[in-house]
Amino acid sequence: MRNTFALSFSISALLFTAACEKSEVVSNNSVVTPPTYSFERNGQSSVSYSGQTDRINQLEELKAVLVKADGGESVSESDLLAMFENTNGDGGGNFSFTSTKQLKNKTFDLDQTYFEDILKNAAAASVEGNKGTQAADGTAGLITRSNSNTILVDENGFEFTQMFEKGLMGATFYYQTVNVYLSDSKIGPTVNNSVVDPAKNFTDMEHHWDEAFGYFGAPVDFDSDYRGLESPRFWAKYCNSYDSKITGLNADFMDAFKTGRAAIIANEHDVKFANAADIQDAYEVLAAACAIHYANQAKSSTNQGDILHVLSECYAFTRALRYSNPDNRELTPAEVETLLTSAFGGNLWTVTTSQLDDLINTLSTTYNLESVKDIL
Amino acid sequence: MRFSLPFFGILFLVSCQKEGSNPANSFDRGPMIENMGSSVILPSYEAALKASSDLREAVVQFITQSNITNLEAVRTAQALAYAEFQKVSPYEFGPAQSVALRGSLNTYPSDTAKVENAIATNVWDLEQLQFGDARGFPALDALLFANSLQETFIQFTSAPNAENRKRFLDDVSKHIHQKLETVYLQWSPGNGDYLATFTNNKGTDVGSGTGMLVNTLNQHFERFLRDGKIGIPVGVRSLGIPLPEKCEGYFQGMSLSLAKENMRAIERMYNGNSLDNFNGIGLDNHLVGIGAADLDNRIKTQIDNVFLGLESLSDPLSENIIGNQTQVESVYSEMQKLVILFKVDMPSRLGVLITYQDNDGD
Repeated sequence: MRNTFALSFSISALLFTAACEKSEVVSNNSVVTPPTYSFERNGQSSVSYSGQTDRINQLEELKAVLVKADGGESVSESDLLAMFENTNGDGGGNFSFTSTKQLKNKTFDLDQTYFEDILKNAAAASVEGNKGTQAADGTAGLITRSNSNTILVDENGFEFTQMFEKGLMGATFYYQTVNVYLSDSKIGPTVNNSVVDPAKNFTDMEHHWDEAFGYFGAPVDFDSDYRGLESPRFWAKYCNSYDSKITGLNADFMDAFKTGRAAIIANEHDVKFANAADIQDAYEVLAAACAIHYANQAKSSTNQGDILHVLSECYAFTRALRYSNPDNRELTPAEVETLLTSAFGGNLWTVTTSQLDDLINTLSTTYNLESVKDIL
Repeated sequence: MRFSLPFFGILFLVSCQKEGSNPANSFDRGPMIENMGSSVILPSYEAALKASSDLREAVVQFITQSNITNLEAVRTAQALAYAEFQKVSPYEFGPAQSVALRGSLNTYPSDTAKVENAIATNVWDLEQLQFGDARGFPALDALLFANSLQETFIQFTSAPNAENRKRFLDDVSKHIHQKLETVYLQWSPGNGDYLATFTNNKGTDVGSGTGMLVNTLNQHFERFLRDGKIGIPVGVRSLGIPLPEKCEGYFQGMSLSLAKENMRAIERMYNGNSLDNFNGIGLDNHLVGIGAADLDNRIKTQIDNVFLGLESLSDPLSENIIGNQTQVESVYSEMQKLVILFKVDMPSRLGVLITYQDNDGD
């Protein structure tokens, strides 16, 4: 019975792959992709990514402070910076929980100042917003969206909240995943995959892979056409919203995360690397899809607050592509910079439809999204 | 092993939704989208482009020879071009989506303060998104109809900034014509030939001709016709407080005739009939062809009900909204019934996925 079931399972899995032409899943007899991201050793879970969950929670709470500034409150620079570097383990008293983890030291080194500056400028602008200063081309302040909420933007129309939140999705979550945890330094041949610390129940390599998964923000049972109870967060949330349009995008991520982790257990390192590359590819496609989506929204928005809001998101997701892995990327940081300059010219107030159309066309051609670019 | 075979089958179907399993595929969609593209969409763009050329000519004529007769001719040409534009506004996919045609030409109400500021400072760039509500037909509605013909004539000829105002009028009409021309050329077989792209994609998936047709029909009817032209002005988004100034073509007082023209375009999008009402293969034939004649009947009846409702109103719609709000609300309700048939019943029978979504909440 056991054998029969295993056989029928693997054949149907094969059929599934062949029939649907999913991304290349390297099949290997000793690597079985489990239905959920759950792995056990000695009857206990061997999965751990609480540090990533902490950082996701920190970003969410930091964003909530920025949203207060969007609503016209004055917010403190020192509070924002304390949350970014998690001062005293509770963000200087601003987090609802304690943690030893922080966002800042996991943010791409060369960009930590860029994000600190966004927080500093947000705090300064919030003082103006609090006085009721209205945003205009050349003036930071508040602007009202079609849902009657206000947002706080800088003198060039960039919304601080989006620039920081979506910015860190790129510079921290995406950067750490594709450049750190899915790189040789964390899953390569020199990384321990045989010694299991009994207190932790995982090998170093297993744990690093889990940490990559943790930054994705997906429930363990996440899959295409996801109907589970737990909400996907950040990247997984966006992924889920494009899953029906970029067919099987959720499964592309999850199959790769699950199969790669199973491959680590089975010591099938070629399979692991192939799946790491699949995850890197899928992330690029996802970031590009987010940028195209918001460019489309900007083209069809009629309210200036909405336009600046979605353009800020569009900008941050396009910019996220600069964090793609140098060994497996379609665009270099310099090329991403060129794209940003031609699409936005440093001022969101003066962006034109044709600039956005060019951006959409470049991204959809580069990441093979031409067939869906109009509906994202 | 006995149970494993059907198990494969289930997995296969659930995971892939192969086309063979869908009854909608028994209908040959080729002639339908061919008809829609060649006999409905392309001629509609041609008509809208022609009317915008006439508008251009009238504006140039008025600028060259600024007299009141020529100003009146601009008004007439604008009203005609605005009506002709209603024939194409639902087709916001492909070339139209590329240039954001609907938003570029018809974001209303126009921000009159922005328009006046541009004229006063003599600075504008109609290509920028920030001028979205200061260009197109609504900007012309304000420029040409907000005041009496005589007062408008003075604004364009002897009032301060009259020359700037003329130049703005010139640019707005140029912008309208240019956008329509771009989209028309992109569709034309002799140029961009998007017509071939559209008609060659015979499936029902998201990028197919049928998929785009059904999606844009729904999105336009729901958001831009039902809500934009009727619902929002009558107050369905504002606790029943009417907002007559949100009417399309508010100053020229032709909101209702524009709405009717647009509804006729929606009807053509469904029944595939040509501009001169020659019967063509449309989504109606598709439904009948897959055994859903009952649904086709219900949709056609409901389209008639919407037209009956629109006929019960009169222009200026903004005055109807104040004087007869209940009647306008009842037209909205009839439209809502049609939304359900279009958006829920029809796509599920046709095997088309509705992919558009409302703006993000975040």
